[in-house]
Amino acid sequence: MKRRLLIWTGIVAVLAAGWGVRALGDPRTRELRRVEKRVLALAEAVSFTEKDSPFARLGYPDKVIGYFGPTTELEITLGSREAHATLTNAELKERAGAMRVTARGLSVQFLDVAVTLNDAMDQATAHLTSKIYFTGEPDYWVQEFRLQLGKEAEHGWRVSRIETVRTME
Amino acid sequence: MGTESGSQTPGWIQRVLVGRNPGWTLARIAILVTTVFVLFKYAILLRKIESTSMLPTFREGTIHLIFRQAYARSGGPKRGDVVGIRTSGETVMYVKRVVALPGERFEIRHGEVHINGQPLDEPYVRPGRRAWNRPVQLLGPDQYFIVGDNRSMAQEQHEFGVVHRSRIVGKVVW
Repeated sequence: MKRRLLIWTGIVAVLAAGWGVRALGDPRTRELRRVEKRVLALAEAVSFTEKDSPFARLGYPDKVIGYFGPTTELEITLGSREAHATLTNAELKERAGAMRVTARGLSVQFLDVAVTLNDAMDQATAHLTSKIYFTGEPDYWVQEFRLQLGKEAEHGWRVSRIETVRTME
Repeated sequence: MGTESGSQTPGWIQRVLVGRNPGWTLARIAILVTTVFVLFKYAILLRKIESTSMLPTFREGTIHLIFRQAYARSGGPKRGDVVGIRTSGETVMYVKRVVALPGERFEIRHGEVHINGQPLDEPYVRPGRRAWNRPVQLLGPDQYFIVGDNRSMAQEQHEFGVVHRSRIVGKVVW
């Protein structure tokens, strides 16, 4: 019985190891994970609280624009807030700074991030659901987004377009 | 003789941790894990209501069960069904009621839903509904019009609209 148990445990371990090596070793899978990690890091970067240090407040716009390419196309409708424009990095920095001053706090969570890559693996699309909460508001927003990202030799994956996706039309 | 049979009986710690027969215990654990995995992957979803949009049917903070296979054999959701609607995944879902079906023409006039020109009887809606309005729309082959039961909310605060069949995950059964 013990011998049979050991044999089965061994077979399961070998299969699991084989699957793990195949899945993690595949360059496409690795790139998908990289994009996903980058997108999740963006959610963390745009979030801020009232308790942030003055140093963190000053550094906020620079931290945020590090995730965006030279220009970013925005097609956003979030309740009464709307943004339909193509912004340069400098304009985006200005807007991020303004938001940091006007809002008391912002909590952004990205969930269910589904990433697709083009064949050349230099363009990616991330479809995700966000939970957005502005400090002081009674409720949080649930909103789906589609982010387009491009891979740059110097900076890695950076966002080039953000659009809201409507769950219900 | 008595000493020999005593040495074959597993100690109480072993009995508590892995049972009298470790092989059977392992098999039972494997069956249990597989059953739970299959059940939660293909049959049911548990979701907590985090808004007031389904009042008075579902209160905020209550947990409900969505049956994924509810429409596997039938033709799809029926009018009056409360369904789970996925977003980009299933971590965050909307729970709403189906009020208009594919091919139907619907509108909301002064808070009252009309289907193909006829007012819809909605006993699940509490009196005191607000004067919501939505122009007439014809639903496509796989489209459903879904809305929450709480019509005393301001229209702009209530998420409702037309969803594609592929977004409907299952029926709320409890």
